Amino acid sequence: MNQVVHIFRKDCRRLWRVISAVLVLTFLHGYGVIVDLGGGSNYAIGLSPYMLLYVLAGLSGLLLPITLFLLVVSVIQEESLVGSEKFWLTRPYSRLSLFLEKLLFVAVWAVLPMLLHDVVLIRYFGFPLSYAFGLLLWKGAQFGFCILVAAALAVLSASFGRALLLGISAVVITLLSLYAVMQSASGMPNAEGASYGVLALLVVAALGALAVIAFQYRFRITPVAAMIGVMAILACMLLARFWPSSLTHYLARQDTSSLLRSVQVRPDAGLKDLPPPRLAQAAAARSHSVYYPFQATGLPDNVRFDLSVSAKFESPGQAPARVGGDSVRFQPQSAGSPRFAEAGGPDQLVPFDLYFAGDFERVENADGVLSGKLFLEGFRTAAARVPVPAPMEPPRDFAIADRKCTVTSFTRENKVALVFDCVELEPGNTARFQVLLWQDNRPITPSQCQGDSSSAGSWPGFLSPIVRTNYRCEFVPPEPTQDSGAGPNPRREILVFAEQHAGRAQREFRIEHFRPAEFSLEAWEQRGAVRPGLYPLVPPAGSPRAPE
Amino acid sequence: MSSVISTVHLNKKFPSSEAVLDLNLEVPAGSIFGYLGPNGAGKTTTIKTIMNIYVPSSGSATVLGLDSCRLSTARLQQIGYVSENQELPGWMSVNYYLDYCRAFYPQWDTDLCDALVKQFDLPRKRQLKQLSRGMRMKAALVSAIAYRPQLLILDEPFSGLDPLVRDELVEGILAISADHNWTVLVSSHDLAEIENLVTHVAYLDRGQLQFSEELASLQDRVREVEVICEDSPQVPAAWPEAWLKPETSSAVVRFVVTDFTDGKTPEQVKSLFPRCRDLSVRQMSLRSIFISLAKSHR
Repeated sequence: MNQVVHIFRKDCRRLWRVISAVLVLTFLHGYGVIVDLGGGSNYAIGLSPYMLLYVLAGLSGLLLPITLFLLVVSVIQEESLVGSEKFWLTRPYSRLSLFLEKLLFVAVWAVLPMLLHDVVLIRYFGFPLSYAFGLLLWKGAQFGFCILVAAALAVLSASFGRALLLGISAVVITLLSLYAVMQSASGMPNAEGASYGVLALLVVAALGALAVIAFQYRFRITPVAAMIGVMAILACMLLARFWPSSLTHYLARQDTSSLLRSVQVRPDAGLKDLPPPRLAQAAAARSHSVYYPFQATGLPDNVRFDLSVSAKFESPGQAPARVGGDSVRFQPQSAGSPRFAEAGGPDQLVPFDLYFAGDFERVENADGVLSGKLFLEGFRTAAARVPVPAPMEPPRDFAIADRKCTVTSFTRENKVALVFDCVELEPGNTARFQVLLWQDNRPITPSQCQGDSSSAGSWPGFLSPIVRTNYRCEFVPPEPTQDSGAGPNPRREILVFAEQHAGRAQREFRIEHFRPAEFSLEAWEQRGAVRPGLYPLVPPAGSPRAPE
Repeated sequence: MSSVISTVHLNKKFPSSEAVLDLNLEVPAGSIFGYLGPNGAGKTTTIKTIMNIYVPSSGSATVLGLDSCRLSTARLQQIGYVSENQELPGWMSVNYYLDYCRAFYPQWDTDLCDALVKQFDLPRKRQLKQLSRGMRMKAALVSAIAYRPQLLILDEPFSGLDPLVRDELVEGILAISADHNWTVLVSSHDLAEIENLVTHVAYLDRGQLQFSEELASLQDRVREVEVICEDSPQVPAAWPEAWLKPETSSAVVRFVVTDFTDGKTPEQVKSLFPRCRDLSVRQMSLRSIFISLAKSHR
């Protein structure tokens, strides 16, 4: 222990400049996040100390990772494990003490400042630490992985320059591996399946880095350690190339969302009064769509899910036909529930489209079995009512789901603009953010919205534990009339809907005597299964959906 | 006399070369052992293998009774090591370097350290990287001596040093080893200084040990013989294996005998050169022996 402390003090003395740089950059980065997310950037205008700090804070996002890399590599190369001329090799150093000292140094000067940085930011934005514990663990794992890689490069190289070159090679190889994983995952029902492969890749890479470090500190035979590193990279490449999609499916099945566990989805031809389904944009696709009613039971009252299908249609004397379809939204009855942005319910007409051209004509009049998988993507929904702040008033704070938001308003050309500035913890989990304006108990849909309605799906940030999203909507409120009795200052309220990802689940289904010719939309209308009304079109991917 | 260092069939191979071949070496306790050989002979490789910087390809080395591959911190606390190529932490001042090293050695003798710093006139506050090569070697030597190691290993400690510094170092080592009966292994190809220092010598050439013995015995055994003849002498065909290749001039034959024995060798010379009248036998300096042997092995 004495030796650990002794070497630690020496390394602190030797590397005080890099340590100081890490501490200053960590502080600047935290300051930058607060200024940037807390709206303080408004004050950093013109040539002022604020501006200088703001610019430095902006640079810290680039400089901090580089400085952390320099710190880790430098401290390991203080007692370099490569070469035979270092003075420490013939001194009574205990290798274990040396390893522990490097661990202590990195923990004190790299991990601890970043942890404090995260804790301060999480507390500053008002999130409870107990709630952020999982995030801190996840970020710690990410950070630990990066440190392991840097340390592996350091134990294999004699100088910072060589470590940097090795690092660049490692980054290129990692990116290629990730690309290969994403490519091999393209056959999945959604790209989420790739995350298992990426996670497995990172675990293999981390184990490889750990093996290199442990071997070097124990035996100090660089060519063999480098060989272990190369083998780990090869293992990553092989894993990326040959990651079995069946394993992804298996893991996805194991990873069923607890919120969706009780949900059952069954085909039921006897359902009545179903809402009109969304129609495909292309007329040809619409003419080839067949439908079947499904009922969801066991849905918690704040959960909805999108259902997509992967199935095959088998009929006597015909080759099987692959079947898919646009996703359909299932949710508890929204009537009387303020939690959902759209009307809808647990009974829906699910479309089935044949993948291959010509299949429809081939099987149209067949009588067969439709069987396959139902993929459920769950969302937890929430709503909040917020009084509209008057223009020039300070921003009004509110919380919805796991987001903390402020809203300001201003009027322009008879329009009311609402600006939402929201923060949530990494990784962002808000799938949808929608706004309605209520004026004198009448809902007004926005005429235009722009910004980040979703924070989900982004790759977790390396440095900041906070995700920021901006959203802005404009409304054209009706002129107050004598009838409304509201006078010149109408009572306005904002209704905000937010949805968070709540995991996935899979179900299997089977429909006997599936006859495509009898299951067109017109046929279901004639049977009285569909509620009369307008058929909305499925919007092209990427366009915003207005609340119904 | 027990051995402080011994190697048994030690081999060290690199991908491009074989540095040490089947080395069997014994360094007696209390000796000042000169490990000699031309550049590239494998001296430094042997020492690095002994110090567990390199792992032997085959065979073994034992240091202070322990396999070199298992040199523990306790054993390293008994070994001092100074090398011409050693990378010292240049950012440290002399004082900080000595303080830093002190913590690794429970038996560190602060008085001895201070005395050596004074004797070598080391500037305590100056950084190691700012010191001259000689001064750095002195600082390294102080840091390797101040804990009174049982074994001091010096790898080419004098190369590149000016004569004054060399003398100071040699005197320092001699004085300390005489006082404390240490074992010193010193490798060098700078033989003039070694001769005054060593009690034993070993000679390595192209990775192979040629001999290893006490210096006095070597100097008794290896002699230069000069024979003056009446006419141009003929070198006999049956030339003894232990005699190095002779040099001849008009009436003189000069050669080195590596197995000289009083009485027997002069008789043997006379029988080989019956028509020669004068025979003189001279003791050789270590440098002369080294050069003769090196030439004969080329």
